[in-house]
Amino acid sequence: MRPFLDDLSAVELRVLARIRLAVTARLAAAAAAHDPGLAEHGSRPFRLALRVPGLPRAFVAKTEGPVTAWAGGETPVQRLPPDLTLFFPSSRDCARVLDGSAGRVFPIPGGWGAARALRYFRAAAASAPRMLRSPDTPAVLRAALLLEAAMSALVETANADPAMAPRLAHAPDGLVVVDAGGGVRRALRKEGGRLRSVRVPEDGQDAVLAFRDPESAVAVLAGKKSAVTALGACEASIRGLVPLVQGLFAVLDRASRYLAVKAEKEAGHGR
Amino acid sequence: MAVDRFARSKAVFERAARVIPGGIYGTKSPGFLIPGKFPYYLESASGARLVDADGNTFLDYLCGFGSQIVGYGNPAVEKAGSERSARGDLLNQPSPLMADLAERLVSRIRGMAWTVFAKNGTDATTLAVSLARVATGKRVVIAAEGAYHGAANWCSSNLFPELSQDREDLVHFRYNDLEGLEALFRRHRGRVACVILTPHHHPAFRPQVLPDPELYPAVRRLCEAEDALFVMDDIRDGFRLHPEGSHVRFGAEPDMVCVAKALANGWPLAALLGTERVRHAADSFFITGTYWMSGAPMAAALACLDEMDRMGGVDRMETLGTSLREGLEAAGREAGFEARVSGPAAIPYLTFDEDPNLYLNQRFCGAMADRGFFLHPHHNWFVSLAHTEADIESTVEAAREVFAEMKAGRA
Ligand SMILES: Cc1ncc(COP(=O)(O)O)c(C=O)c1O
Repeated sequence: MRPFLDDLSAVELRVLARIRLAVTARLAAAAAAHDPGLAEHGSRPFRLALRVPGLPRAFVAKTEGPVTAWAGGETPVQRLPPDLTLFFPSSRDCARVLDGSAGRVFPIPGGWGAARALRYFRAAAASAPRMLRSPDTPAVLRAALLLEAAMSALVETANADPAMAPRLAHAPDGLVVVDAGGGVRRALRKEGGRLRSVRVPEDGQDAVLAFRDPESAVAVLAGKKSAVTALGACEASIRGLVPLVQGLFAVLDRASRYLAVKAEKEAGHGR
Repeated sequence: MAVDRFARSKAVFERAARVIPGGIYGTKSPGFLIPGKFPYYLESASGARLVDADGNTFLDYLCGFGSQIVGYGNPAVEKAGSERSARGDLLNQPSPLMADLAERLVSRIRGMAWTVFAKNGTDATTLAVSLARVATGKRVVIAAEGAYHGAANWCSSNLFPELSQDREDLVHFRYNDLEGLEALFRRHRGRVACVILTPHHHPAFRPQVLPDPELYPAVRRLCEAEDALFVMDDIRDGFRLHPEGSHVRFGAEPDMVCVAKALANGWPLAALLGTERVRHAADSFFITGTYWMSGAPMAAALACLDEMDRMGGVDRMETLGTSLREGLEAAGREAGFEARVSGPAAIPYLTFDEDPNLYLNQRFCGAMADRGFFLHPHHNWFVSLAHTEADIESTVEAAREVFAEMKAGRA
């Protein structure tokens, strides 16, 4: 894949936009549990949608329970119209704006909670990256946020990128638990060419990818260390159906290429 | 605090990972084994035994991924190879040994009329497929799902979209599924260049499968009808299933046969053999590689062929492998496991019928490695002529202990 937004094909742009929508929505929801400042914004109900023509919408909403996100074609529990829709006229705009670059986005109010939704989203969009950057953030939280981002990027890449179909077909079906240490666990089910997030089962998983500790998980999930090197260093281990996890590594590799796509060409790239 | 028995392996790996992608790549990557249970680096070997970078010893059943057939450091093979090397290994032109070895192989591997040499198995399979395409004037290659024919882009598991064009004309059927095979021939009528198969099916992570008696006659019939060629990839099985080529054991009649691995007992050498029908294509094809005609591996191969026969050859490996299989399965049963050894006796692989996810394999092979037995949890094993009856007995004895520990939840 080419490293710059302007060089991506139309299909790749759509995949990237889907990934950004999903990762942004999920991190915006996940951050609420860890950022006291944000929790305040998220204490009253709102429903926010992120929309790009032709792509499944992403939602962030506060109804009864904690702030929650839906993406990649999942339907929110309450199918009420959103208080606010952030409308990106194109995949390119979406990819640029959600990456912090300039692009077009139009807020379309739809209900009483519009202002609350916007306030929450503005604060939340900054919160997760800030927590990830801050040296004071505990490794467990960093791992939890990165795992959240990685899982949604994986699911979107697998389901939206046609180039992933042969890779996924090569891997067996099954349920994988990713254990980032410190009690942070997530599960994915692969069925044919599709991947989805599922509840972590008590047992019966087909494979487990376990990190030695949250720091090790952070190193791999943040792309600082390759998974194969982490395995050799015993910072990660795979038990069970190894080829299933290998299939996910291939998708993760592709997802990380999407996430590394740059909006602008800078001088000196490639050195 | 417990001493880490792989401390040096891990320290070297840490250094390596800074300058080598993945530290150790491909099939030798620690992640393919069980990191922490197996060594990453080996220092030396003799017969059927390995010594790792930390000084741990293992009774080895991976045999350099099958390349060791008469034992690590076999004196006769080493003598032949190093003597040739001392006089000159890689020269401008091949040594006369090349003709000697070609004659030996052509007279030994049944049905074959010519041979060319290369280094890796992948060289041989890639060349075979190219020749098949040239000889038939067609493109489509039929292979079995999960089969491994090498690390070239036309067949490897590097399924990057950027490389997808390279595998465009590669299609798969389920091993032994004749209807599936026939359907492929129908779908690609007039376009099939060859079928490439391994004598028996040895996918990673799964039990091995022997060919149904109908498979090879059907392959021959379909290839004849389509004017396609049949390539036998005997790289892994070669010299362990039948002295004249594994195709003979299963009654197959290939147009080309690829061998490597055990051919020179680990000295780097591969060969592609073919029938008269493909000679013309081979004659006109540009076949070369700087190292492909080096003399020392050819000298080693000649000695290795003699040694195989002298040490008891296929029959002896079959006997040893059968004892291993029967011993392991019985030991598993005693402890209540449905442990099953699949594949030919000399190329066994143990899996647990009750656990297709391989958790039990990993526990079993990990605990065996703790006791000094190198049994790969995810790849088939190999018996060699350097193994002894006593080796097999000690392996089965250790397995009995491990199964009991697994049953008690301690391993
Ligand atoms: C059946 C088969 N074909 C081809 C190859 C490729 O051989 P090499 O790794 O020497 O290129 C292998 C290697 O494991 C093999 O087992």
